[in-house]
Amino acid sequence: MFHSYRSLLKCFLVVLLILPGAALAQDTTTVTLMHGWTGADNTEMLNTVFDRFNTENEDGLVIEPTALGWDDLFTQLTLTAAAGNPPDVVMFHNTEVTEFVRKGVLLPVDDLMAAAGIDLTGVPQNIIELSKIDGEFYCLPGDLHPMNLYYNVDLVEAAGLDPDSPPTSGEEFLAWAEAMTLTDDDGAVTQYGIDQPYGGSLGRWFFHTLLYQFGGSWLGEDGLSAVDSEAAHRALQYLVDMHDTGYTSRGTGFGDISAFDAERAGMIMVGPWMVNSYITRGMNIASAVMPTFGDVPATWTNTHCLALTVQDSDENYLNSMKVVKWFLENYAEPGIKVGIVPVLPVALADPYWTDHDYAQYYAPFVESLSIAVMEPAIEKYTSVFSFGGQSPLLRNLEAALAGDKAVEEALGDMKNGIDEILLDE
Amino acid sequence: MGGMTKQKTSRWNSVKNDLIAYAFMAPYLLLFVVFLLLPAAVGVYASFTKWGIVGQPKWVGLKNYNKLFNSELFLDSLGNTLYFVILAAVPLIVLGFSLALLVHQNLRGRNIARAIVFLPHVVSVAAVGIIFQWILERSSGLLNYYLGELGVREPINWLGEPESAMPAIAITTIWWTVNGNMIIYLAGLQDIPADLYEAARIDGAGRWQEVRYVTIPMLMPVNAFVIPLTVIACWRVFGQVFVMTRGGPQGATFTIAQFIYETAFTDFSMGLASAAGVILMVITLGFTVIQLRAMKVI
Repeated sequence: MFHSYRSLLKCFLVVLLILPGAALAQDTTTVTLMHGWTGADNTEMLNTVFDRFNTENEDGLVIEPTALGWDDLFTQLTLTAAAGNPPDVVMFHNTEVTEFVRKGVLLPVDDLMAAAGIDLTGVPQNIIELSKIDGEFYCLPGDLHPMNLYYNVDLVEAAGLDPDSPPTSGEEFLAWAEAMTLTDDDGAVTQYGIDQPYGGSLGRWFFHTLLYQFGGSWLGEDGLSAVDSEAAHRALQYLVDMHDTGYTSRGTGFGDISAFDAERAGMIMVGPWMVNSYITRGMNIASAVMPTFGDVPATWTNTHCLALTVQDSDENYLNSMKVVKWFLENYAEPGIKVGIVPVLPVALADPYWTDHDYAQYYAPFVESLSIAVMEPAIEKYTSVFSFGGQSPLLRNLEAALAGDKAVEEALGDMKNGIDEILLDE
Repeated sequence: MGGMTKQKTSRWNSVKNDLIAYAFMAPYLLLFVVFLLLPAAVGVYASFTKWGIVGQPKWVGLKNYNKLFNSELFLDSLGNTLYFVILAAVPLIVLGFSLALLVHQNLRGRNIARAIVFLPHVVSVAAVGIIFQWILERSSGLLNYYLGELGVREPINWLGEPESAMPAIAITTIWWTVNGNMIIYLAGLQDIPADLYEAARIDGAGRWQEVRYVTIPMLMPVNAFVIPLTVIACWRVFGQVFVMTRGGPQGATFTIAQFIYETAFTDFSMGLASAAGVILMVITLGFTVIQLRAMKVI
């Protein structure tokens, strides 16, 4: 059978190599984890964090991650749950939790949290409440990523403004925008004060910020849309007026290409996930807490959280919760590299977070956690707050900002459209 | 007696040939049935049900169709898609044919020209979308920069204005996919016997008359393939819209395919999405039949 002793030796060596692996495989327990942090950098970075867990943990647990775009993640989570084999752990946004709890996909985890020794002491109560439905924990908050102000320090200085005193009010903000809006001899704008689109995600999030700053909210006590309120009128009118100044770039709000990125706009309002991108491009930027345009400070935010899914057997629940615990406590590295603010005090105190060169850029985001407001985590969240062209929210927001609809008409149509979705069986 | 034996042998040979043919087709037919016919049939069934992927479908009869025809959103998406078909399909066919004529000429470097024209076809839809998003961006895009150099002072919000967004997507699509039609027309042109042109020239035909009376009639079978496929592809437009505008601004580029996608995978209303899919299928089928009838192919 073997043509030579060399062949026999080769086979023997192969068997020797395989056996320990097989033995090791028998001693490990796999915890599958689905997340939406795609993009080559994010996925690779997360994989290094998971690899660290796989090496460090003494329980023989191995995380098997799957990265999907957010839309695909929601679809896959639904489909795998329907097929009876969802991932053990899912990382997504708090705003989607209610929807998946109602679908019966997520598991209440109060007992497992206690068993795994997860300590949420020091996490602000408003953030803890985001993770509960009907008084029970269905997910654990990992981070917040609020919207704040970035400005290009070079352009600020060139306009004769002080980069150490960023605007804190609407008046100061517009004064900065005016100073940084430049035109050529023919009156054509060559540099914008604000990189603010008509619509898309940035348009929607900024409207949300203004809505809450003017004392409004998305939903009324009847559970239906409240965007026809006085506060909503003031918020949208403020936004329309801001665009009418001519200081805004008025892009589409989609994609990563913008006037601020091209250093043709002085300011932009976006989340902490852009820090790495701006610094990597060599831009001289600074960040600040969202100015108060309305009556009270507020800014848009969302969170990433970790949840366990309902499985046929409960044998892997505790292992899954151990993975969640480790990840929450070691959130500093993903926090810095992805650009999100951990909420667990132990992660915020991690030297990786506190001593990092980028800490200065994240400081205003940590500061703004107390004024951060999420969109309501309603059962039909992904339909109402969709970024797609079917969204009555976006359609009417864009129509008002483009001047195609009056503020009152746009908000009335927005309410009708949202209510139609909410009432649809 | 001998005649009957001959007849039997001939029939057996015919059956045998048929069986061999089916055996050769079997792998394709199997895949066709499993991955196309069966899902399509399930889709038609699902269109009469209320189904959220999780759980069992519930029969609702024509309710989904009724809802669709009363939905402003769906009717808008139909109108937007028809607009895109008009904007993109005709240039895709005419330009595809014209480019094929151009690169069919016996000129130096024509192979390089063919490769250059075909090159965009290998780029993925995501890359095309992002590149054109960058080119068409209002405040820092390449197109507005050069228009500014030419004296256009007010930057155009190509993807941000309802009036210009769909034409911008149509132009992107034409740049990206016209070369597919070009290749098919080129293959058709290469199949036209040279002696037909020679005969036309002997009869005194000029260059344009050669195209009019030889090339175009000889390309009718190719047209019967290219025109319906192009129109169907335009009705199904999705990727470039999804990447470049997500259906905005103000829903101006929201197409049927996106309606189906969002309804199925955002709202998880599989029955409604399936009904929209069936309507799209009927529309494309109708267009195809009309076109083929007009071309006297069927």
